[in-house]
Amino acid sequence: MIRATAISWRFLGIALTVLVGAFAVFMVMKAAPGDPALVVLGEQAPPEAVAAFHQRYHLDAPVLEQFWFWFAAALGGDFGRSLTIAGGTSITGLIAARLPNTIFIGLYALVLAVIVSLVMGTIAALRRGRVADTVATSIAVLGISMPDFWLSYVLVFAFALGTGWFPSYGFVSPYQSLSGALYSGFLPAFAISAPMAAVFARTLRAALLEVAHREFVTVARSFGFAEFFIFLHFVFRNALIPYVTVIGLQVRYLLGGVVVIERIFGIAGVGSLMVDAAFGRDYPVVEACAITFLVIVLGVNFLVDLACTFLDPRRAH
Amino acid sequence: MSAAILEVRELRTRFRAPGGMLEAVRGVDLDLHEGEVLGLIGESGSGKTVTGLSILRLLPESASTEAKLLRFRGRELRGLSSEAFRALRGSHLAMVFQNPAGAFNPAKTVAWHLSEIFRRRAARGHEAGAREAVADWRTAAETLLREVGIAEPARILRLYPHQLSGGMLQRVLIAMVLALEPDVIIADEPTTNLDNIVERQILALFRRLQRKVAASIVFITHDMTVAAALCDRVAVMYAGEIVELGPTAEVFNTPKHPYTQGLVATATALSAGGRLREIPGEPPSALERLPGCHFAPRCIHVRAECTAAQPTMRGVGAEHQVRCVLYD
Amino acid sequence: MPLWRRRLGALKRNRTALAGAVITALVVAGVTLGAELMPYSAVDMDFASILTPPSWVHPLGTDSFGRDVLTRVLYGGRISLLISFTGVLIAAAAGTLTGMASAYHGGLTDAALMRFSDLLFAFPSFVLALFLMVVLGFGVQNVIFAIALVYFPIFARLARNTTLLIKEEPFVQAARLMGQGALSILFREILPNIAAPLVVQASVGVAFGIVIEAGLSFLGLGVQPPTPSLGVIMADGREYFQRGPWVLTLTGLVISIALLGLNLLGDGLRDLTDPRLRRQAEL
Repeated sequence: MIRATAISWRFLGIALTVLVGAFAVFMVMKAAPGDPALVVLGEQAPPEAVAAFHQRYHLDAPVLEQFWFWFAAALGGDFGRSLTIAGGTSITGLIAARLPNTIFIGLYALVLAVIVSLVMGTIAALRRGRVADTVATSIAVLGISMPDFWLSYVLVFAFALGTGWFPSYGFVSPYQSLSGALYSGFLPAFAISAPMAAVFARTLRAALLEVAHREFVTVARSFGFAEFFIFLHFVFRNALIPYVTVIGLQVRYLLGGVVVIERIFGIAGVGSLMVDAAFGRDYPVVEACAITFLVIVLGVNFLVDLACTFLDPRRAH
Repeated sequence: MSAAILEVRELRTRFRAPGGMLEAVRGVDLDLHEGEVLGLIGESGSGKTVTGLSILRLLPESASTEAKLLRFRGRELRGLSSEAFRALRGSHLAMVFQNPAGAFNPAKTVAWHLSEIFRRRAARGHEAGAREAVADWRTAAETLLREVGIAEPARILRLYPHQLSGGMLQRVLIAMVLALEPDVIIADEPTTNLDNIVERQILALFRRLQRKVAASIVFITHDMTVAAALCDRVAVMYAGEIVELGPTAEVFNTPKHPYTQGLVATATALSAGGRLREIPGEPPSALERLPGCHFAPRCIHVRAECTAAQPTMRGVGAEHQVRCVLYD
Repeated sequence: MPLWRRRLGALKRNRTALAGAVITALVVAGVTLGAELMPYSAVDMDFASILTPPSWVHPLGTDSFGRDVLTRVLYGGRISLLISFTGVLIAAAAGTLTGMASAYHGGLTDAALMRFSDLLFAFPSFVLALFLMVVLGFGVQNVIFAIALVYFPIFARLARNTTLLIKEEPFVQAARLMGQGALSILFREILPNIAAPLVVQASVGVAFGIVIEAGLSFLGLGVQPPTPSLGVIMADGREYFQRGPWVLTLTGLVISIALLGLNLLGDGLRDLTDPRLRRQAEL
């Protein structure tokens, strides 16, 4: 089947990108100033200790060999050990523990953004030019103009500190309690979702209006189909293609927002791990986090691409 | 003379445009008789497509249409609510569009399009149509596709519009319109975007089907040879109004309006392989509103009274009318 | 109506672009001139007026060192804008050159350059910026570089795609036939025609660049105190958020206003340059 081969090729492409990306990350990290040995053992460490450290972590081998050691281990699931911030803990373990939280918040934000944008975008398009449209579009423009970490403070101020409806800090893992996660995760997810919802809503509105002018809509009307039927199957259905495409494009910003939000709300996710590692100069952890994010982005792009192929028959052939 | 199934009086359509108000249709009168093919001839920009769209209320919001009279089978259409009018579309008044590639939903198969057509047909409770249950539509669809000249209907049904050629798509579109068994079909240059061989096939198809289904057709075209082959009567449109109307043979053999004469001369010169004698000048832009006859600037017979006031239609034969002061 | 009058009319009628231009102009004026006009210092501490809420004397209140927040915000805004603007400018220049060259030469160069650009693009923007700060160290210069690197692939792709479209136009072919050099063609024929979407992207880019800078500095990984940038001020404000919420909140509000202006400007420019052709065709 045509699709299966195309999908496998895409998969190969992604694997290749991850390999090259990991390589790039590793190499760039090597260029960073500072000797990890000194960071861990202290500036005054005796040379023998430093040498032993280097030997233990293959830091004296040629760079390419180092990469190979590291990558091979990574493929086996071992990203090495944290140097400073979690002294000696398996990085894979660290990330594995935190990844579900990041993904939960990310998905939560995405779902909120999609729901809000579907409603707002559709209303704005249907009531084009009228009050509802202006209101929705203005809200959208405002939404895009707010840095999400600022918005989160505004939300905290309004809904947590002021009224006490939501917690201002802390996050309950979904494994412990799903309702707890939904509750404690609402403000952070909402903060991240706002700018995204704005972009989605504008895209949907523009797409709906553009498709509504296409000839096949007039033709459908000439057959006497009901307006709602035409809207659903002709206009909305075809507007989904650019809409879903934009969702894919926004994931990069979503993950960026997650990093800061995790820090603000004290969510134990991969983002806050990366920030902690950045402060602690724990390079292996930073590398691992960067690559984790890379894989997530590529994975989501792949899924979005798949969705678009289903939505747009012209792409499948 | 059979009864008029569609009566239009003083149809006017305006568009809001950055430069002002565009008057695309300036007072069109026509009658479509039951079972006939009426040709609507004109060059691009003459307002013929807009006329068709106006009758069916298919224009965008920036357009406004008004008429003194718009009757279908004696029933006044102007006051109808959009819901009531929608019920008439497709089942009684239908349109065949000129760009088949743009007429289909790119996200859906041909089968989906046809099944929805059949569902529409069943929904309106037409006695003949109600006999085919919706579940049965596939057989009916395949028969219909074969009638419009598609050899492998089952295969075509499974395909998406972008996988079919223009000629194929136009056949499917015609099949879809016919499936609804409308009383009036407005065909807007259905063969313009197709190459010559396919064009001839589609025209032959039209002739066959019109006789079979006995629909009344308004056939919009800029091609006089096509009109001559297919139409019983023709109406010639210029700058948003009808300037000549009558039986095809009569209008083409003895054109009365200077514009029609020019058209006929050009067409005969072309087919005879002679030199192209163009009518000098250009039609007025839709933004201009001339006080008198709109053809006056290009007319070789122009007189003072032509620019004074709008000429009205005058009779020059049993069913032949002209909008020109020459025939007082 | 003469063409220039029609264009001016379109600009005036396009309220989005106008509003955006006005707001952006106000913001730029504020940070360049306003900072100088303020009677307060952005740095000197005044322990007598620690953490006073907004008032007529101090429109945005004071921070935990008694410094007038508005003055700090105006100075900080200048720095944030400069950082973002410089970063985007570098990205635009490098990206456009790369994209144009890539499209013009095609083949292996094109494939290689775009693969590189795509790789950069595959990382989430903020994560990439964060990563770079770890590698390069903190500070203003590195933030500029990070923003430039984050935006480079966007400009490269855009320039490449638009150049591909223009490349086949008759006037470009004509120039080539007349023996015009490749560089000359790129700069004199192609560049003016692809400038419009690039400018729109730059406007949006500066807006987002401010967010990246603010985010990095807010976390402590970007601009380092005592240099005030909007993110640094917000980070400050975060320390004592419960006691003096206005510092963080109002600083963020200023950022939002700047972003609003830039976004509206970008929107308006996009409306003016792009669908102008489409609207004409619709008639």
